[in-house]
Amino acid sequence: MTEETGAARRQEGPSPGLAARLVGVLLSPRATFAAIVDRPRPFGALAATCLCAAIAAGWLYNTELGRQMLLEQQIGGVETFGVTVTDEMYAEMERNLENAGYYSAIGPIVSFPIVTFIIAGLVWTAHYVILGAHAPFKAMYAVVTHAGAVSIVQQMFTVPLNYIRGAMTVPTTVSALLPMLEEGTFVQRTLGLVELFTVWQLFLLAVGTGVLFNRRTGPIATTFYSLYAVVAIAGGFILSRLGG
Amino acid sequence: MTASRKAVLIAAIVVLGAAVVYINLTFERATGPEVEVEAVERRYLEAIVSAPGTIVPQLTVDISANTMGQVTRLEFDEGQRVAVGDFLLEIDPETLRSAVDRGEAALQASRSAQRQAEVTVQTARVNLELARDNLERQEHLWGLRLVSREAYEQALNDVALRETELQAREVEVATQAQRIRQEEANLESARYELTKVTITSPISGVVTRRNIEEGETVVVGTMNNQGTVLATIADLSVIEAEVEVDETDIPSVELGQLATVTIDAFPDDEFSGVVTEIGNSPINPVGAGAAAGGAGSQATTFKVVVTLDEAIPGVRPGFTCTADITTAIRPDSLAIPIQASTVREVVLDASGNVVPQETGPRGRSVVPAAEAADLAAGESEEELEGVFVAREGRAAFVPVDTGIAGERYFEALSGVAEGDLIVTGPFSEVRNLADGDSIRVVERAPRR
Repeated sequence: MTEETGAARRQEGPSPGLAARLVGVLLSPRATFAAIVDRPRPFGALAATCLCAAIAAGWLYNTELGRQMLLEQQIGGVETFGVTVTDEMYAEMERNLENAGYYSAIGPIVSFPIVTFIIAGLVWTAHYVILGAHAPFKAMYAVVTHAGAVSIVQQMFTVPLNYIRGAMTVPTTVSALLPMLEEGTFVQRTLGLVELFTVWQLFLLAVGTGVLFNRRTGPIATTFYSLYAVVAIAGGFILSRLGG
Repeated sequence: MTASRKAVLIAAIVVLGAAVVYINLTFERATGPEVEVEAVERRYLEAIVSAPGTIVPQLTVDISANTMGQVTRLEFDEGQRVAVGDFLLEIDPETLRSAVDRGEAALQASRSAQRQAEVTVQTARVNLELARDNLERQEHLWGLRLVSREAYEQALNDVALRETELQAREVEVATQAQRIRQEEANLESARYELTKVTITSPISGVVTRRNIEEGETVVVGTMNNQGTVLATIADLSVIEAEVEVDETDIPSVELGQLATVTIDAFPDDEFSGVVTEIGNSPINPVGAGAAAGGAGSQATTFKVVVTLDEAIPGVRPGFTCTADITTAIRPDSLAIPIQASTVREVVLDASGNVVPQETGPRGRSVVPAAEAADLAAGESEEELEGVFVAREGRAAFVPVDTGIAGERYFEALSGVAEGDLIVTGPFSEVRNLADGDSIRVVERAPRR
């Protein structure tokens, strides 16, 4: 992948459509982000990722197996923090599962815009304050929402896989690829927080940010991955301590 | 990016994706709680019934007084060893000795009176002979008409008078003989009463209790009145442990069973013995317990006596002890750890086989297992005793028929096989596990 410095190239001709942008971000990120930055349209990509996640979650948690998987995930999550799930807590969790399909569908629709807005705000502010770089926030937001194309692929990959194996644990973490790691250890917990699609998404975000602020992708990606590593290590430490 | 590099990148992503799918579907990391397991083995098992109790001598004699009076001599101490017939104490003998003296004097007087009566009999006989001789003479002279009729009749009456007198004297002698026997009996009784003031040891043994001091006044002993017991002598050559066995254990206890007795005062020693007596009546009947402290306030126990095989130097009656009675022995049986045993509600089919139930992701009990309406024809719900067997990262509940219970292991009559890994702990996990739960196994070396 070549690094280009200098101003983003202006796109000549018609701007690509939503589908072309989402696919292009995955296959030709730099060129696609150049087109996105040139004419930022964040809401189409945001709607697509929200809709895809809502459909996937809504379908999965409307099935009996999906509900049981969700229940197990909730119990596992609680027990990770060293809390023993009592029979009463279990019964309460089970009652709450009745409408899990609807809540799960609404969840991404509500959370995705907020999360992407926050991420875009943090990255944009960091460049503005620390580096003195200037770019329209709308373009930054468009970069973040289009990087979310990875989450569409993620849903298409993990939801069927989870349904087949009957588990809700994230199958694409580094920890999942190393089953020989002992459960609950610091290494296992840390690697359990390193997820491959997130790594991909951070890379796309770095590419898009580089295009937007006319900077090299490498340092930006390194910064993103360093922050991600710090979060994973801190989370792994806390979870391994709490989980016993 | 060139087309070839892009193709390589896409191929790498596809391979990575395939690897993710393969690993997730093939390997399953052990999850769930960490549990200890132990392999089922064949073991020598002993069923032990433990019961607390006290040490008692086989033969114990309470010494009481047969007469009342003040103790004038006391020649034994508590803990002293005594032999049969050894003098223990004397109660003031003066009154009874006087009675004996009176009896002897009365007997002597009666014998003198008898001798006097015998002399009067002799006199009466002589007088009778003289009267008869006189009658014979008067009768001859009356035939010659040399004496008057009056003299002849007087001689005749005199003989009759003397005969009567002799009979009276003979009766008097017989009466006196009876009086002598009476006096002899009185004297014998007085002498017997006198023997009661001297108390000797009826058995060889050790004085285990002395309740009297010299100068104190004793009263006649009666049953059920411990206050009249002057001393207790115990034969410590044969020691018994009197223990209280719970009603749930008593059916398995039989005469002749071997036992090991531990005395609290000798914690480092164990003493062997044999069950020689089993009570048929409860020591603390339900009615008595209810009256004393409310219904169910006390366990119902039965007295069991274990006779120890040998004398124990330094033992004292009343020492607390514990008897471990061996009620059954299995030299080579499948053994499961006691702490692994648990109870779960299962569904049985018409043949009595367990029907696997669909439970929640962790098989928790709150997941409605099988309600009455869900049961198929012939199925029934039952609580069964069993163990969790670790199989492929999961805990499988297996009902087990148990036999005797040893100190740490149950005898498994059915349900498990040699080598099965039984979940033994921690206790909280054994209590909470459900059939099918994921577990992480930590194998523990079996205890010997």
